Amino acid sequence: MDELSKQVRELYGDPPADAFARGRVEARIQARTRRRVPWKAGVAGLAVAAALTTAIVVPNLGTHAVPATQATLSGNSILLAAATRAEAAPTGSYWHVKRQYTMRWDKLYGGKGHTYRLETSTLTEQWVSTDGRVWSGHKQLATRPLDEAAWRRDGAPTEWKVEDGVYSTAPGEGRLSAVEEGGPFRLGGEDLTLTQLRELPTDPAALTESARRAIRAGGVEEDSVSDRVPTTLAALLYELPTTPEVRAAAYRALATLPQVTVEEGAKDPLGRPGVSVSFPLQHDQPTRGRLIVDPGTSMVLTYEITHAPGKGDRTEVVLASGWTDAKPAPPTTD
Amino acid sequence: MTAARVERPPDESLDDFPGVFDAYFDEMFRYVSHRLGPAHAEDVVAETFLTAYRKRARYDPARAAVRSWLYGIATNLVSKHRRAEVRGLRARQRHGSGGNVPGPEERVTDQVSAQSLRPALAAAIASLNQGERDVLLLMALAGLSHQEIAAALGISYGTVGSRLSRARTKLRAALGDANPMGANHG
Repeated sequence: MDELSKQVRELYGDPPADAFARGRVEARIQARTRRRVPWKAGVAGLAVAAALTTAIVVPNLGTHAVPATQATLSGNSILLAAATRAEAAPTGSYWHVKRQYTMRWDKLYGGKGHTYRLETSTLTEQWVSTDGRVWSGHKQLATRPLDEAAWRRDGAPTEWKVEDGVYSTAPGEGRLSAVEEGGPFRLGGEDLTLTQLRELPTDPAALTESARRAIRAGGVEEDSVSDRVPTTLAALLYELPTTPEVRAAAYRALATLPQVTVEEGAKDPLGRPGVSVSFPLQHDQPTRGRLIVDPGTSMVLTYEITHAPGKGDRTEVVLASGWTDAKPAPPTTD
Repeated sequence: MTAARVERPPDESLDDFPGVFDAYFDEMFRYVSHRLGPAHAEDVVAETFLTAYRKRARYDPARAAVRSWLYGIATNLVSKHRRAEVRGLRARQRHGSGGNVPGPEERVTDQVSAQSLRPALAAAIASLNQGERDVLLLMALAGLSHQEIAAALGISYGTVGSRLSRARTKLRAALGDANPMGANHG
């Protein structure tokens, strides 16, 4: 770099690091797109949901050193058993997904000699009625200092100011709002109506073909289409308001994919046992997607993105997913 | 390993929009914070990504890398806040540095001699016209090449060069006036 550029850089210096900026910007994008484009409300494909939450998601939630035993032969049968469970899952008046995102921030708080980092968590919920209306719920959970001793030495503050708000050791209020223009629902790169979503094929091969078509609709290069099939099917497993038959077909379709690895003996960040269903997100990259599934109920417990070069794992904990007759209500920790 | 991908986003097609946000948020936030201060930066960076999302169908990977394209969008949005930018530069001029980002976290630079030139440099950057300032700061702060700046702003390579050379001349003149050693620089 030439001398003048160097002086300009020095003049501008380093802006103070603000670990919360990313989350706030994402929240703004989320608020602004909710009413306009399908990048909204979390009732959208997996990749899209990840976009809305990368800030709030994130790293290394008590990493689960799981001595996973590779279940090569039985991998398929585990997924097929989950499919059978999925078929028998209850139906109801509302599709409901409740998730928790947790993030550990790099920024240090506290005075000299007693600095600590914060962990913040958020609950989000979505409801979709059978006639296509959508509600969205949000609740900030208690913020937690990761080094409690240092936090006490710092005077045990209960609030931390961030630019346009406060993180607190007390949980925030749960809020629920109706989402205007609820649909369409994004599958792969395609926007589907609720009816189209519910009328997806219940034959695994035909469903895989539909997934590929939906992925191509997003303008994906042909050699990347296969990479995206697992996440597109995963969206049908727990995010999108489809039928028990389509969910079952999505499990069966996953069982046929060569890049999917099924391992028993996994635990999710809440300690819930399940099987790990993992796959590369891009064939020439180490980054992997990983579902932790309870094969007994067919419920997806957690979705993680792991092995991203230079980044912590991103974890999305699914607290509930399925059809229910319970009416939309503000999120609670119950 | 995939060394060739180092400067490339996860997906040049913008189809993986979450990946694009992930890959470029820090850089965009830093650039806009530099130019407008952190208070405006959140608005402008959110708007940058929203604009990119809305216009993603019009993005042409043959013309610009995603990174340059985002810098172009951010720069256009920054230029709508010209007064805030100039105000920040005037503050740097008064306080020597970091006018719009005060605070204990600010790194103390050991470049004492450079610091003495800061008021003059800030004043000179404030006095540039917007086009000259955009090109200068895309080079100095974002580290974009001439080619990338041209793609980002949708101007010709030649225009980048001429704007940059006008900006340099003005800056050197200002630094030369402020410091007899200025002739040693650049």
